Formats: sequence, structure tokens, C-alpha cells
Amino acid sequence: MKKKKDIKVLLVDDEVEFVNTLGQRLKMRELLVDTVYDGEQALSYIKKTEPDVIVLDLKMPGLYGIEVLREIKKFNENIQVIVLTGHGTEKDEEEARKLGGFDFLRKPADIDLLVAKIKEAYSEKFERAFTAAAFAEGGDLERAQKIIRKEE
Amino acid sequence: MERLPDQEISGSQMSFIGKVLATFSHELKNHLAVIKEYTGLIHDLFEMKKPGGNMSEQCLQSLRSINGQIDKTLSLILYFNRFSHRMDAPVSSFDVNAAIEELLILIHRLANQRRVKLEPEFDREIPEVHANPLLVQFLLFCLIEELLLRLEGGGTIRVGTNRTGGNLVVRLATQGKLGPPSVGQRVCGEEGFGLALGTLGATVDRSGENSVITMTMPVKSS
Repeated sequence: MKKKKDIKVLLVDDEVEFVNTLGQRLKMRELLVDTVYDGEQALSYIKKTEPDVIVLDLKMPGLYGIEVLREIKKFNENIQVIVLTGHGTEKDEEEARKLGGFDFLRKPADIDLLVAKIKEAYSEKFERAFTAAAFAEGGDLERAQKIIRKEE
Repeated sequence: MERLPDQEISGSQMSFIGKVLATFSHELKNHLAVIKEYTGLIHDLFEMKKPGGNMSEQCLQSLRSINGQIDKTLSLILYFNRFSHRMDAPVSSFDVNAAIEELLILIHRLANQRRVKLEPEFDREIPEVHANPLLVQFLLFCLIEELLLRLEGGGTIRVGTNRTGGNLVVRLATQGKLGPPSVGQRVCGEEGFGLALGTLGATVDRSGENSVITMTMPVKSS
């Protein structure tokens, strides 16, 4: 299991001061943090680097957060996404979960709660990958793929 | 203060007020979230006290930033308070430039979502207008919203005022790629827009260059 320091987190939010300060606080809690400021930047980022967990705002200039979530999951289902928004409606929350969002938090979120959710999201991803690897090693590739795709 | 019989408010006018409220509360929440993060950072710096590093400078910087956020929030609340008071009386004498500036500040986040800048270009010599200030803001909001929907990939909307004879002219000029008029037509096609035009005696002209809309209304003195 990776140490906290090895958990790679990408923060996506157009409020520059907010996201930079949050990033600083998460780094003080031994997470590896990068920040980008809109959905397009997030999608470019994940094509070069795979974060373990993305913390994603919804209301940003350009692509709406739900669309960004959809594209992230299309590109790489293994990336865990936590929505952190000051805006989101119940409909947004429902849609985010349907698209595979790990959790939906409202700003301003308690830092310890956010860190706990990031660790939970990472653990779930790790356990899924570990279980899938075990099935793949045993020759059951179909089952392994279903587990990765969260179909079971 | 002039008292007129109560006028019904249309759905689209209510929707305008709702959108201003929503964007204001979103903005406010964002400022408070930043303040919370900075106070949290100061708390972290003291609690986690790492050897070396520049703790005092970081704390001072955080405090300066908190101060800045509070100033921005207060300014926004002041504009919102002015906007709220536009509804005190159905008709009053008011500074049109101030009313438009207020609207642009309160909806800048909406424009920002579409990557559009709102730029005022006011004629400072405009006299006070005697009319319903909220309806003026409502009409302008509808026209701006139409342009926001039509501007593809961002741009600029310049909002200018000037006086021509007995009329006030508000001019909206865009810079950026403009989609077809049909995209924004739903906004200004609603009944509330037409009613507001009628009440103010205003007209809207889209027959100029593609990127310019002008709204003309009579300047009445009280």
C-alpha cells in the first residue's frame, strides 16, 4: 500500500487562490498534489500523467464539471474523482455518482474530511486493482476486466 | 416617491432576479471558501510547526489575502444591496451608468462561465433617468444573455451609453465569433421582455452590424 505521500492528487478549480491554498494544505498532509484551473487543462493533464484521485469543481469557465467527469471516466475509468463544489444541485450529485464519481462534497469542505475521502478513494482503487490482478493471474481475464470496470 | 398601481411581474423577470441571486450567492460562497482555506492554512502552520521555512511570512501573506477577500466580498455585497433597493419603488430617478455598472458586476461570473468579458464604455454626461430601474436592468440582462449564448468560445461585450436628443441609447458591441441569432432568440422572445419594452417605451435595434445591438429609451425627467 502506498504511503500518503505517494497518493497523486489533481485539483481542478478555476478559483486560483482557493485551489492553490488547498493544494498547499494537502501537501502539508503528505499528498502529492498538482493543480489545474479548468476542465480542458485537466483533460490534457490526464493524457500525460495518471493521478490517483482528482478533486473536481463543477462550475468552471468552459467545460462544466460533469462533462469533465464524463470525459475522465471515458479516458481512464481507474482515476477516482471526488466532486468538490460550492454550486452543485441534487441533480448534479445524482449525475456525478451515475458517471462513477467517488463522492460529492460541498465547499467549503473540512480538510480532514477531504483527506479521508481521498484516502478512501485511493484504497478502493487499490483494492480493485489488486483483486483484478489476482483474477488475471489466475487466468480469469474477463472477471478481472469486469472488476476494473466496476461491473462487479 | 411616485406611486403607481402594482404591476405584475412576469416569469422572465422573476427568472432574471433569480439568476442574479444565484450568481451573487455563488460568488459569496467562493470568497468565503478562500477565507476558510487561508485561516485553515494559518492554523496548519502553527499546529504543524516545521523547522526552518518561512512561517511568519506565510502567515502574514495569508492574513493579507484574507483581508483582500473580505474587501472583495464587502464590495460585492454593496452592489447587491444597491440592486435590491432598485425594487423599492416602481419608478424613480436614477443614474443609468451606475445601474448598468451594478448589473455588470453582479453578472460577471455568468459571463465568466462563457469566457466573456463585460466592458463598460459609459458617457459620463448622461443625465438621470426617471423610469423603472429594475426593468432597465432586466432588459439589458436579456440582451446580454442573448449575446452570451451566441458568443462561441468566448469574447468581449462592450456596453456603452450615450444620449441622442431626448433618448438614452445603450449599445452592446461584441468581439468574438457570434453564432446565429436563433440561438439567443428564446431569451428576448419571452412575454416579459416585450412587456418591459412597452412599459419603458424602449425599442431594440438589431439591424446594424451583426455584432451590435442598441436599446433606445426616452429620457424623462421627474
